[in-house]
Amino acid sequence: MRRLFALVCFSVLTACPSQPSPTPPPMGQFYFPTGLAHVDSAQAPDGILFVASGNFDKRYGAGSLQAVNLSAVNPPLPAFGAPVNGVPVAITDLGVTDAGLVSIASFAGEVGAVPVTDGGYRLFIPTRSEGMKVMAIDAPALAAGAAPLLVCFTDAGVSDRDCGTNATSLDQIQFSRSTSGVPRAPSPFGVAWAPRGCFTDDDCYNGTCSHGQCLVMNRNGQPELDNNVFVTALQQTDSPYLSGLNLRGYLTRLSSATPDAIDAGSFINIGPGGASGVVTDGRWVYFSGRYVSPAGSLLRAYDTDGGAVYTSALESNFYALDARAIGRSTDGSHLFIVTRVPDMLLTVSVHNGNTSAPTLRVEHSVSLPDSPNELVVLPRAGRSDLVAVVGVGNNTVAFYDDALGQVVGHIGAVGLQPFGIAADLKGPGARLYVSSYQDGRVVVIDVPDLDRPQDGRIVAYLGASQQCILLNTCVDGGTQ
Amino acid sequence: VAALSGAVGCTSGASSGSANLVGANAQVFAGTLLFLTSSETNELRVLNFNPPNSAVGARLWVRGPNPLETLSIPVLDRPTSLGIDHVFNEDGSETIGSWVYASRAGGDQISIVDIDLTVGLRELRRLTMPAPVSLTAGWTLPGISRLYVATYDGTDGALYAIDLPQTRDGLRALSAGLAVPFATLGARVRLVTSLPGETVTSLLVEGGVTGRTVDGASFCATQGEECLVLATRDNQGSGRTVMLDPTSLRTTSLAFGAPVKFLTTHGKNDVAATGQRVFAALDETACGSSDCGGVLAVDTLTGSAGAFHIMNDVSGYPMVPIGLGDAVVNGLAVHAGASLYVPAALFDGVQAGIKLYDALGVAVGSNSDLLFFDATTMEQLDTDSASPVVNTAVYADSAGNSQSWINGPQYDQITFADGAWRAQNLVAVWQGVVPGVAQLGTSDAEGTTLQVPSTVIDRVMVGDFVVFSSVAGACDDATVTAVGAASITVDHLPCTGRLTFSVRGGPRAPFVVSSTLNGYLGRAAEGGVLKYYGPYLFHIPSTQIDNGYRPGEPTLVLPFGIDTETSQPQRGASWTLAIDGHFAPYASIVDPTTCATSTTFPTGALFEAYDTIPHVMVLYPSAPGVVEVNPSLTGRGTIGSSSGTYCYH
Repeated sequence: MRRLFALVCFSVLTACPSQPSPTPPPMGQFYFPTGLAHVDSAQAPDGILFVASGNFDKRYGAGSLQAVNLSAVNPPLPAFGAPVNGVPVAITDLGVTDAGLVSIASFAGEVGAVPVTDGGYRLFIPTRSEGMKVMAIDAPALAAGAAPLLVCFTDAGVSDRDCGTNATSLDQIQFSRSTSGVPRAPSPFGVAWAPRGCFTDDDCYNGTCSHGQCLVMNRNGQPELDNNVFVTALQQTDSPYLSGLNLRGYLTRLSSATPDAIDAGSFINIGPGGASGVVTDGRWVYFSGRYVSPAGSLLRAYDTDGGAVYTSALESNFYALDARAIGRSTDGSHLFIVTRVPDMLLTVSVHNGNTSAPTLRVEHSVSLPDSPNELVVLPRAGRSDLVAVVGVGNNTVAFYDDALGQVVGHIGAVGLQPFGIAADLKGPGARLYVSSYQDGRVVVIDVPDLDRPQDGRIVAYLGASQQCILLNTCVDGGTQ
Repeated sequence: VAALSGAVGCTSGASSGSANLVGANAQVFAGTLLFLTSSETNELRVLNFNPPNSAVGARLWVRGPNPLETLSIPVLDRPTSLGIDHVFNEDGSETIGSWVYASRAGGDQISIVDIDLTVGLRELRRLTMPAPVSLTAGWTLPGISRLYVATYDGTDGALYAIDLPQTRDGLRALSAGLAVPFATLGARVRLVTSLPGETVTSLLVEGGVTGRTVDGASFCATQGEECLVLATRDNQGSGRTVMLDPTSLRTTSLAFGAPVKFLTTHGKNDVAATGQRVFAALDETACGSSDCGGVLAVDTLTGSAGAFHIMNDVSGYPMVPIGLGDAVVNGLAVHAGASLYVPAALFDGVQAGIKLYDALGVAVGSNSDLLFFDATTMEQLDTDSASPVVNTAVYADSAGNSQSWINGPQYDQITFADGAWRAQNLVAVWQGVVPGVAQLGTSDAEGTTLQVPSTVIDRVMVGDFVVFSSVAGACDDATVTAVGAASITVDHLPCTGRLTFSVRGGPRAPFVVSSTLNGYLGRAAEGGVLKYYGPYLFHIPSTQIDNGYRPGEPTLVLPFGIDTETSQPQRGASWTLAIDGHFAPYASIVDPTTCATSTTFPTGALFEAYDTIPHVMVLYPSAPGVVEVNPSLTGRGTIGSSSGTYCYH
């Protein structure tokens, strides 16, 4: 009997990746997909798509992150820009293997893909379920002929596929039970990163300065270039805990090499109000603000050099109540901010962005379709950016031309409650991936020429609809 | 009438029901009907200013075939722009034609909607253009409804004229079904002009003005024949505005001097013909902020040097843009012969009253303001007649702690130009960091000659202090020995590993002066005088008040002294003067409770032409709805239903 037990244990330890636990949504099935990220791969011409499933109704024991080799799906994606004869391709075989799926905490937010030394990526995914955790998951560079692989970077949980149980919590008990009750960052949502810069080794207290970026030992004892990973929190916190007093939000700064090594110094007090979207631009980290009565902070900034938090007070000249996604123009001269009430795209000019006193001014705004959410900035050669914005309320993607200051294109019927958006730039055009929250699929949109966004069209759907799961009508245990 | 309007006009409920607008992005007024988009529900809604069996002044949503429901006019998906078929007559009156045109940003379709209240109010035909539609505008001719359509295909723009029938049967005859392909329009379509690399941002159609000339030659001078005014923006962000004779294709520039977001004009009054004066909201993207925004006007009666030029204001000099502070202009409307309830300072100096303006303008802003202005004299309506003053003065040490006043800026001798100052703080810093020359990057390789942007190099003087930062921290000071076109030279390099440098005021002018809104004002020596030539918010003629507008004269004169024998200030010590500009523009803000929803962000405005006293209809997509403001009852500051302001949504 003792020998049998040992054999079982041995098989568990050496077999192919074990089944994730807690149980995530089925392999190849997205379930309330939220954040997503696209990265290029030498082995996959169409790249790799990482999709987080939010597990909104907690039907499953956890959410999931899946890695999809876009060049290995079946049927294949249409050739970029090719006509689809009005019928987008339904791609239900995503080729995801056990190794390409890990469980994460439920209620995932954005997905940040940070390049790491081995040519792969480290994915950071804030989640808003119990523990308010941030996942850190490695996606090594795709090997020839292999399927994408995901590996928990922080300690795995009950299995090596469980990246959620032991992920870094931003709402830690030792803080909530302290006298002050802070710092805490409940409802982490947005994520952005920037290299951890340095001039000398002294700037890298736990490493050396290598070509302007800190080289440190990561949590696995491997040398690695370090990055600052910034995570926003939608909710503000009180102090003491549950007092409703002294409300303030926190921006959390993690090390990409040691994301679980957080302490009170990792939390940056940003003043009243939670934050939503975040983007980095050299010295500054800019982040948008969710609604706080009587008015939210539309835009604040954190100085990575001096540590100061700068409140733009734009809301005194732009009376929107709520801000969501934020993006940076390719030349750094503008920020694009999605607002709600009203539903607008706000353009903010940035002057002296490389100094301790940037000037941020309201410059322009245009109306957007109902309930805009996430955006992606699409650079164009010899021309200002095109900005694609997802509209949750009316299932749209709208295109804003920053040169013209106008909305110049509009795609409707983009799934059901589209949420996140990622882009794969292809020559003069781009292929866009939009997570369809209520539908459980990812909508693929081709814009063959970014100068002509009106030619954009839906070319494919990735994954099976989650409707039969929601309606309990799936047959044969499948998803159809 | 207004009071009655108020009593019965707030009818978002009651018998008319709610319109359930979702996406109130555009509006046009047609006789007695206000057409509004409900973009997210792919329809138009109609507010009737003269509903049957209702009291005068009532506004009711037009009901659907089911009288319990508000009428829906289904149109193309997500309409965001409206145009109207109409014509302005020589006497300034407006004749409404047959159609309203609905289009969408980035879409190539145009819904043609019958505006007849009795048998119409439905989409009759839908045109498909060869490229996405930017804007539409209509002009009614005998037997023809001429539709102007601006398109942009991603690279180039175009302007088409399409001659449409004026009858329902005639329009229906264009196609068997709803869709009217562009190719089937045949001779009805004319390409008026191509716009390589440009898109149209605003389009006006107006009648010719009798006597209009450019350099002595007649231009767009035939009343009844339409002329176009187009504002364009190219794909590099620049823009221009021209008047175009669509027949001869001759053009004349409107010299706004900047890209324009939108245009408007007004009907005939005692000083100008219909369409003679063109008002523009400048595009703030030209410089990235409201500094280059605001409202300007051009008089198009007499052009010279191939252009129509900016109007002179009441001072007799070219007007300054009418702006909203740091906010951007979202909408603009002007009406000839409109009344505004004004305070005593703008009435007779004794009491408030209703004042009739030859032309009244309103600009709505991203800060929630509805800013009224005199669209004839092109004046801000400053409701505070007092001149700027210094309210308080505080001296603080370099740590920012308040201390007993020592001699510095002699604010008791300060002089301001009236009309040039908003309330703000003026700060003079002893050996202060020169704005624009702070924390500029450098390196050891740069040596003793340091690069400084040419735009701020004139702020640096020989003898100024240069403060470096280095990888090891702070360094000793260096001193400026020469100032070039875009560089300065220092006497020595105090440390290695230099990263940044800043310039501080040296002995020739140790006071570095700036203000919170105007920015850098200048520098002053001990015993010297600071003269600042700043921008004006508006011009008050110097014939009216001593400190009115005088071209070429400073807007601030401030003597400086210092008592070095008793108190030499530390570097960084500051004197802060709180300036009250006594500038109180006539800006109203709709009380958010008016709609019981969010009325914080107006995006457009028009004057309805039905009431004897024209009311302003302001779009609030966030409400979502439209708010009616009666200028003869309104006031500066928060306005609501008690001052003739009502919401329809």
